[in-house]
This record gives sequence, structure tokens and C-alpha cells, in this order.
Amino acid sequence: MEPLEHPNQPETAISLSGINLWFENFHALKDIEFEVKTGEIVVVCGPSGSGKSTMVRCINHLEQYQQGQVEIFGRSLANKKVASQIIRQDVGMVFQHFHLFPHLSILQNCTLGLIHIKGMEQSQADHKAKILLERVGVADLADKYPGQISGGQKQRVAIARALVMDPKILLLDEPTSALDPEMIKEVLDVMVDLAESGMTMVCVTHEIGFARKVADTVVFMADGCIVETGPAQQVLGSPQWDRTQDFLAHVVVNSPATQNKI
Amino acid sequence: MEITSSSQQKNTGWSWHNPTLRGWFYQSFTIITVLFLVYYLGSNMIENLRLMGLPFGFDFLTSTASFDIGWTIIDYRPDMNYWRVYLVGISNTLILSFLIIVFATVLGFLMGVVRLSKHPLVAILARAYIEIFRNIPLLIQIIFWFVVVFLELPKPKNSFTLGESVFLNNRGLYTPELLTNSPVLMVLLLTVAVWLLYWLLPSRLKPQQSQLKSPSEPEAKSQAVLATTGLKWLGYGLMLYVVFLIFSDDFSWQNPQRGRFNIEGGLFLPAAFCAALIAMTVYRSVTIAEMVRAGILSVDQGQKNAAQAIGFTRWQTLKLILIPQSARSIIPPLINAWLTIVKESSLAVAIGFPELVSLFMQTSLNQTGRAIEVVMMVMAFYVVTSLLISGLMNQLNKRMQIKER
Amino acid sequence: MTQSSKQTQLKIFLPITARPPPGVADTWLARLRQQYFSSALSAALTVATLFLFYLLISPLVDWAIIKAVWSAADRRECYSISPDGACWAGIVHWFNNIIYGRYPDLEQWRINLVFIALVAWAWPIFVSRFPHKTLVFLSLWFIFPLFASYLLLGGTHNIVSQIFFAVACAMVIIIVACLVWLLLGRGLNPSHSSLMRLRLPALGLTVLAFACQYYLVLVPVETTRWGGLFLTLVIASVAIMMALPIGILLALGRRSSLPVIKYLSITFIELVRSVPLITVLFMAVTMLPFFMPNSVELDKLAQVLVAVSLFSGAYMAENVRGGLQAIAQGQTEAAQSLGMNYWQTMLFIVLPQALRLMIPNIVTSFISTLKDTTLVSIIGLFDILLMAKNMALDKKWLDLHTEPLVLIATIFFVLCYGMSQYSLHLERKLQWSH
Repeated sequence: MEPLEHPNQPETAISLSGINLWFENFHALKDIEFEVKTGEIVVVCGPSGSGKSTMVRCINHLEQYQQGQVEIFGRSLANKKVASQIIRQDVGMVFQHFHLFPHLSILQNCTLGLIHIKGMEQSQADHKAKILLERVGVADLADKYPGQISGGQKQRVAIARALVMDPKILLLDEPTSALDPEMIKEVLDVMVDLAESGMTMVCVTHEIGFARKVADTVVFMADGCIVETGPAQQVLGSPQWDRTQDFLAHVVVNSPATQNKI
Repeated sequence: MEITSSSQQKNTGWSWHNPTLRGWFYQSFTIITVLFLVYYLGSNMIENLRLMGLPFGFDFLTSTASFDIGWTIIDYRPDMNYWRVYLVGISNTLILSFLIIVFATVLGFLMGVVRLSKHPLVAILARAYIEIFRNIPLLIQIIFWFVVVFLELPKPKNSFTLGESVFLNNRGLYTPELLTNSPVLMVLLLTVAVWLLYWLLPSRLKPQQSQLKSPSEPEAKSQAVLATTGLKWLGYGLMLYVVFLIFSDDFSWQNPQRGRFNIEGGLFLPAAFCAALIAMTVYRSVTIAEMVRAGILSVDQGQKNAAQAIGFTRWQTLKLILIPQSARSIIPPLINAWLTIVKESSLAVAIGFPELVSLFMQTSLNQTGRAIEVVMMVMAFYVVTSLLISGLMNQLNKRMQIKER
Repeated sequence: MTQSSKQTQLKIFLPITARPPPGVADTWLARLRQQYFSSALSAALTVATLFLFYLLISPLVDWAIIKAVWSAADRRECYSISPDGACWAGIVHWFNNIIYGRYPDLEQWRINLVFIALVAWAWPIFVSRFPHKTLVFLSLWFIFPLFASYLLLGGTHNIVSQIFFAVACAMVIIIVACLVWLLLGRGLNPSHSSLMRLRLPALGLTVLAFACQYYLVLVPVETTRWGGLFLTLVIASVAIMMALPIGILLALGRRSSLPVIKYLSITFIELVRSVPLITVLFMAVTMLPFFMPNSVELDKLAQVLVAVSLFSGAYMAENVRGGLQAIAQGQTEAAQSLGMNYWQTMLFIVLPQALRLMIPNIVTSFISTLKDTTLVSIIGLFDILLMAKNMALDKKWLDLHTEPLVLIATIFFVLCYGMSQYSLHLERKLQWSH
């Protein structure tokens, strides 16, 4: 597959420093320091309630953090107007529950942003959307509606919908957690393909097999803190912290999906 | 065990425990009671009518009404019969209801969106508007607008005026009127009706326009498609005719003028009409606003997240994603609200607006004494209107179903 | 993999201790800025709404309070003291009429007594520690109306209503005693035996009350003299009281498998819901006399009560239907597998659950009915709206339109808003109790 061309990008794609987030009185994210290099594949894992989704959602301002700084390609997101501009251009996201627009067809789901945000012509937008739907393997579903397709197909459409806006960074929040086991593979295949083409990805997932195969870095979080971060092989194979060890032991033993030989 | 065996035992035969027999008994008992009631009330009615010398019948409809009506949109003179009065009542009710529906829906949508605002002062203002106009009975609001606002306006001599062509005084509102001999208004209404019908037809019957035809969807029978294509061309033709009429024919504006005691000419909207319109618009807009707000809030939060992640602004999210989805949950109660508006328009009788209840159930009934026939006719109008509007709602519901597997 | 050697190298993870959130914007000035002036649009809205508040509220306050006249002999005097202010003096003079209608002044204590008894009787239903709420509720539904009509109508009564009145008096006294008992901090035993212990005192009180009322002569007051807020509340209460059983019967009828009953119920409900209330009222007043034998004279209030009750009942039927549908089919099946027949299932299993779900809806229904009672002014019953309109016809207060309308609008607002807030509170409470 052709690599996604983004020449002349600064080395650091995402940088979170000193991020602290409270929900009411609950301290959800504590002093987060997190960096992602351009083209890097990062997998974030951890027990539920650890704050991993919250941290990733801070990157594209879906969660409001009270303290700290987020920078994308070196540009600070402190100013709200500039921030939404940067996020719109450079960051895309795929959700656990897909969130496709049920009142629009698959094709329209993908072209809506192209037409109303990028100002493309209908035919241009259709063309581009079809290419991407082809790429994720759902080209024949273009006229159907989200209520008519399976979970795995929905998530692939969601990925196409995010890619159609040409993001340089893709955030994925537990993309396979809501899928039946037999559909996880088709989505993971698309994600692997994407990773191999050079996209910067931050993926929250329990799929350790995926992490082992394509991740450059693995970040383990617990209780709102980053416990351990490092090269995938190192964190997954020989973790340095007891919490990490406990978690991995549970996940590897219990998750049927990791039995899927990717 | 005793319990299971007794419940398993077939209850047949002439016993009270036989459910079928019990069912027949209840039904026969009900039928007999209802028949007895009808007989009792009916015989009383016939006796009373005989004593009063009023045989049951609708022949009174042909007798002369001989009273004047303050405001009509169809022709009426006091020498016309009661059937004409009935029609005037219906037309006045319908025009008032139609205007209230239009204004209340627009105002309601606006207020619903305003209510979603996060600005604390705007939220307080919106909340106050809703609570105040919702908790005060509609009749009090109607009387308030009429007595406290409109009747306190200046006398015709000192009317408020906009460029001497629009006048507002304590009798009502006077605006320029369009005078024309051509049937332009009728044709316009017909065009709207044709397009509405076309839109309501299921899309299977319409000629396919999408380039991406999926091979799995078979084309509907060609005759049906021909018929709907014909309907579409009829719609286009009517639109052309309207344009032609507008450009070709005789139009004149009649401006209201200051007469000796009053304003003369032009289109006259009596104070009762204006007060009823404003009061009921404001009152219903509150319910509609709450519907709109509930509908938009009921859309899954994730849709907003996805929209934000793609990069839509708040306004784009509302317009392209939230409102289309909430339309499905807003439309049925909205149509119910429209039906309620038609029923509530009858309250205008309290301030003397000549709608159906006032003209027929008060004046005509008092003059002819034919209570039963009059009540039947008025109820018939409302029942028929309800059925039509509910039918419309069912049809719309079917069309708007989110396509499921 | 040597697990043990690996474990000795593992570092122990201690999460960072949670800190309290930073103070919500440090100074009140910063908070103000954040909430009201966070962007150009926000600031513009703040200024616009404050200006709108000023435009609306200052003339209102000016008219209603600052320039208002509170005491004067008639409208002319009001006008001469302060032409731009509200003439509340008229309201003060007419206040009694607006509340009690034309009920004789000397007998108005009876209305007050009925109201106090109602509050006392209904109070236990809302107090959580009071046991036997169903008994109190049922007695309120069936016995209180007889008590109230005895007092309000006055005159002579037959022996049956005298007995019921005595029973009602006994109940009120017992309930008040229990409430006082609770207030003093003592608990009330919810067991059946403690209820039985009250039998003797209850009987004694009943006999005592019967004896007392024998010598009590109450001046009869015809219903044509009932009016004002009193009449409005009577109509609304009777309507809602009758609407519940009518609604339940119609809803059950609609779900019935017997076609005759089902279609009769559906026809009735749909017919009543298609027509406006005012037409039903007109029908009751003009058409009903035709259906009664010539000798029967119908009381106008009675006609209206029947009409409004049937009307509210049809709407209530739809509410009950919603509640019935919400109770899972399984409940009916479970009850019937225990051997219960249709009526037992309905009365003891399905309806209690459905009605509990429906309580917020029922309160909303009551609010609507209360607002709808104003329509009786159109057919000439002297409810609070007609009393207010009539004030302007009084020679002393000619053309005083605004002040009475403002007064009754405020009364309705307080009542309806209060009840709707209570209904919200109930909904929240019911959500948690499951």
C-alpha cells in the first residue's frame, strides 16, 4: 500500500505536558507527560478507569483538561480558535461505538465533511470517498445505511470516514471492544494496513496481539497515571513495574481475541 | 399438586369458570346495557323534542340566518342560510388554526434552540419564558391580550400607523389588500397540494435519480412510475401557470384609508383575531420548544463527539446531524400539537371571534334551538379533522423510519 | 521464563495521590468573566439579555409596586391618587369574592374547614414514616367527598350521609392525632395489630360525631352561589378524582380481548380526544337536558362535573395505557400461573405497579385539568376567571381589567408551577426507589 505522504512534518506529532483533569472532584488524569513522534504507532492500554480514553480524548479536545499543555506538530492548542483549526486539519478519530450518522447513507457519511468543511464539489467528494471505502473493503456498501450493516463493517466505514479528511494523526478509542469476536479480525487488518503505510496512530485497545505486531511504543496507564512507557517488545515482554505485569498476565490469559493469530 | 391440576383442567361446560362463556356474558351484558341506555335516552329525547315542537332533522340548515358576522374570508350576507354559517365558521376556524400552526412552529423551533444555549443569562430568560407561558391557563392569556393590550390601543382617530398604509387601533389591524380577479391564490394552493402529495408518496414509485443504483433493488411497476412522473410534471406545469398569472393579470393593492369615523378599505384583522393569534401562538410555542429541545437532547451524545472529531462547528452539527435525527422524534408530537391547536382555536369564542363554536354552537343554536343537530355537526368537523391529521402523522411516520435491516 | 527472578526486578507502582481540583477560577471577577464574557458573542448576549430584563421588568415593577395604590374607596379615587399605578385597592375589596365566590360570608368557615381537613387527610400520603398509606388514600377517595359535600351543601341529609360524615370526622381526628404523635417524635407501628387497636376509639369517635352533627344545623348553600377559587378547586378535584377510575376502566377495556368492550372503549376514547373541551361543555349544558325526562332538573354544576370528568377520564386512559404497557407481560403471566383470575391480577399485581409509574403523569394531568377549569367561565359558572372578569362590571371598579387578571394569573402560576416542580421531584424519587 502506498505510504501516506506528509513530507516536512516536525518530528514530534503530539506532546502532552503536565496534563491534569478533574471530573467534578475526581482527579482523573494526574500529571500526564506523553509524546508521540511523527509516524509512530502508540498503543495505550490499562484497566478500566485508568484514564486511557480520557487522555486520548484530550488530544482532540473532546475532554476539557484543567491544567497542562497539548501541542500538535509543535503548535500549542492553548487558543481555542487556533486549536479547533489545527484539530480539524490534522487529527481524526475512530470511536468504540462507531457513531456513524444513521440518517445518511455510508457514502454520505463520508462525503458530509468533505462537502461542508473542505468545500468540495459533490462529484469530487463522492470520488474520494469511494476510493477510501474501497481501501477499507466496504465499497459495495456505499448506498446502504448504518442500520443495515454489521459491526465490523460499521467500524471500517468509520475509519474510512476519518481518513477521508486527510488527517495526519489518527486516534482510535477501543475500536474493537464493541465488536463480536468474528468481526475483530477484519478491523484489525485495516488498522495494521494503516499502520504499515506510515500514519501516526494512537490506539487505546486491549488487543495485545495487534500491539505486538505493529506498535512502536506501548503506554500502560493505571489510576490516572502513566505507569510505564517504552518500546512495545520491552513493555509487553519484560515490563518493569508490578502493575504492568499483573495487567498483562490477566489480559493475555483472558482475552480470546489475542488468540487470533494476526 | 392441586394448583397445577386445577389450572390445567379444561374449563368447559356451563360453568362460571369457563373463560369463553364468561367473555360472552360480559359482552352481552355490555351490549344490553348500552342498548338500554340508548333506548332510555332516545325516548326521552323524542318526548322532549315533541313537547318543544322541534322535530329532529337538518332542514333548518336551509332557513335564513339573518344575523351579521363581523369577519369572514368567504362571502357571507345575512340573507344566506345556516349551512353557509357553518361553512363560514369552519373557514374562520381553519384560517386561524393555520396561522397559529405556522407561527407557533417557527417560534417554537427558535425557542427550542435558544433553550439549548449554555450562556447562563440566556438560559434563565428562556426558562422564564417557558414557565410563565406554560403555567398560566390559555384562556386567561387570550383574555389578557384582548382586554389589556388590544382594547387599550388608541381609537381609530389616533391609530398607530406605518406610512399611512398600515393602521393599528383598538378595533384591529388594517393592512393593504391584494385585489385580483385571477385565481392565482387557488392555483398556488393547488400547486402546494400537488407537491405535498408527490413528496408523501413512497420513493419506490418514483423514477430513480441516484447514479449509484444497487442491483438488488428492483424497479417498481412501470405504470406506477409513469403516474408519479405525470404528477411531477403537473406540479411543474402549475408552477409555470402561477408565474404566468402573476405577470399577466390585473392586480391592484387597496390601501386602507382614514374615513370619517373609522378606517375604511384594505384587509381588516379584528382585534379578537389578532389577540387570539398572538396568545395561542405564544402558548403553543412553549410546548413545541420543549419538544424540539427534548428531541435534540435525545440524540446520542456520541454523534456530537463524532461530529466534533470530524471538525464540524456547533452550528453545522446542529443543522446537519442533530436536527435531522431528532426530526424523527419531534415530528409525531409536533403533529399532535398541530391537532391541539385546531381544537384550542375554539377558545377564541371567549373574546367574540366568529369561529365555528361561536357562530354555530352559540348563535345558531340559540336562534334555532336545534341543540342535537348543531352539536352533531360541530363535533363532526372536529372528529374529521382529527382523523385527517392523525392519518397524516401515520403516513409521515412510515416514511421517516430509519432504514433497518 | 524465570518468573521469580523477574519478579525481584519489578518496581512497585504507587499511583500519584489524587489532589483536589483547582479552585473554580480564582477570584469572583475571573469567574464572572468566564461565565458571562468568555467570547465576543457571549459578552454581546450578556449585555442584550440584561437590557431586555431591564426593559421588561422595570415598567412592571413601576406599575405593580412603586406607583401602586393599596387602599382607596373606588376606582376614581385610585386614578386620582396615581393614574399610572396598579389599583390593588379593588383587589383588596373583592378578594373575598375571588376566593369564595358568592358563598355567604358567615358560612365561609365551612370551606376553610373542608380545606384544612383535606390537607390533614392527604398529608400522611406524603410523609414517609406514616404506615397504611393505601388505607388513607382509599378513604380519602371514597369518604372525604361525602364529608365535603355534607359540609359545603348544608341543609338536611339522609341517614346514610350522616353516618358517613360521622365516620369521616372520626378519621380526620385519628389522622391528626397520629400526625401529632409523629411530630412529637414517637414512631407509628405499621403492623396490622396496632391498626386493629384503633377500632374501639374509632367507633367511639364516630358515635360521638354522629350525636354532635344531629344537633348541628347547617345553612343550605345552593351550588349557584359557589364560585371563585373555591369552585375552581372543587371542579378540578372532582374531575381528577373521577378521571382515575374512569381512565383505568377505559384503559383496561381498550386492552380487552372481548371485541365489543374493546371497540366501545376505543370509540369513546378517540371521540372524546378529538373534540375540544368547550364543545363538550356546551354539549353538556345544551344537549343533556334533552336526554333527561322532563321532570328532572339538572344542576348546572353537576352537568359540568360529569362532562369534565368524562373528558379527563379519556385522556387519563391513554396515560394508564402507557403505564400498563410498561409493566412487563411477565407479571400478568406470573400472576395467572399462580391461579389468579383477570380481576385479581389487575387489582393486586398490575395496577398498583402501573399506577406507581404513572404518578408523575397523574400530577401533570391534574395541572392540565386545573388550567382547563377556566373554560367553565364561558358557560357561565362563576369560577375564578369569571369572578375576575365581573369585577370590571362592578360600579365602583368599572373597567378594572388588568389587576384582577394579573392576580388570577399569579395564583394559577404559583399553583401549577409548584405542582410541576413537585412532579419532577417525584419522578426523581421514583427513579431511585427502583
